[in-house]
Amino acid sequence: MTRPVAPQARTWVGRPIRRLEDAALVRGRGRYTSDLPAALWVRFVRSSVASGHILRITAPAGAHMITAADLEAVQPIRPMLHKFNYVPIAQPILAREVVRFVGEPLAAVLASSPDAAEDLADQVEVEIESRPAVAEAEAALAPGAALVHAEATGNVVVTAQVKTPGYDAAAAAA
Amino acid sequence: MTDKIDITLTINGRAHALQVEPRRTLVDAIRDQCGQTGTHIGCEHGVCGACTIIVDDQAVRSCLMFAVQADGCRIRTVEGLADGDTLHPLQQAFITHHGLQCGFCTPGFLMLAVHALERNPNLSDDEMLDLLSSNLCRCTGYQNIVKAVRSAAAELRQSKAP
Repeated sequence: MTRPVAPQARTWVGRPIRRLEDAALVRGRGRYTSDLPAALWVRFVRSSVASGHILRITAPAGAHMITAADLEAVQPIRPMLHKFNYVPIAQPILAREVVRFVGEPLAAVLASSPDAAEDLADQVEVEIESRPAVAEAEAALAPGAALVHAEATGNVVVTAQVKTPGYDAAAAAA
Repeated sequence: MTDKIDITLTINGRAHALQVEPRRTLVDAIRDQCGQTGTHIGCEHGVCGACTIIVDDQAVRSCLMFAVQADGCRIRTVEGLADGDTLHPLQQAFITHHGLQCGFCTPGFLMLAVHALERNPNLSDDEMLDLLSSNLCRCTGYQNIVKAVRSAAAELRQSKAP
């Protein structure tokens, strides 16, 4: 057994801190986003296929629907890692032209109640031209495998080897 | 679809008279119509266990029950665990053993484990793991949850000992 290293004075790291929020959380008195009152409710329409090209998304009459076309000004989520030579993959807020996994959000439907939003989302018509999908890491690396992200050649995002300083000494002493 | 039905949900001893559509889930009725937001909705299809409550002495996933099915039943939720300012031993054990971080899954774990320990405070470690594996936590890695339940079980056994 190793003993915990005595923390240096006046540092937060390595020191047990009494959490202030637990007494409320264990009583069910947390306030999460879904606990707050809301004027509008959202329901997402999701892809039923793992890979494909979006041909059409049609909203039912009277529905307030948002798709990628409405989010031109919203940047996709893009990881910013500076340490590695890697291909940054952009994740769209809502799928744009391409779907890459089952459950990927395609559209958001807004309504005045969760039930109404659910009903309207159920009536959204989605047409997707299905394409070959890669379901496993090894299959993704096989020559000629379908590309999940066009910008990541061979489905490789990063190739890296990491060795922490002191590893050799620690391994030798283990 | 929109025809509503009169029901009464008795939550932690308090009766709530409601009108609900037949399709309304129990958890939605508890949260939205009874204002008891301690019970959380995670996956909405019975996988994560965040919505676990006790209905007539059975631990159930309230996202998989319709509110109309619980008409007249005795419902217990996380809000009813503490006795005034005194936390239930399991609530205290979750704090002591760091069995929570964001706290979203906690009410479900608490109700699941309280129900099991009330039936059998002598759960073996294997039984405890089997029980707790039915709920999901994305923060803690489960070890501290297991420690908390084990510790509360010991305390409950002690308090019941002659």
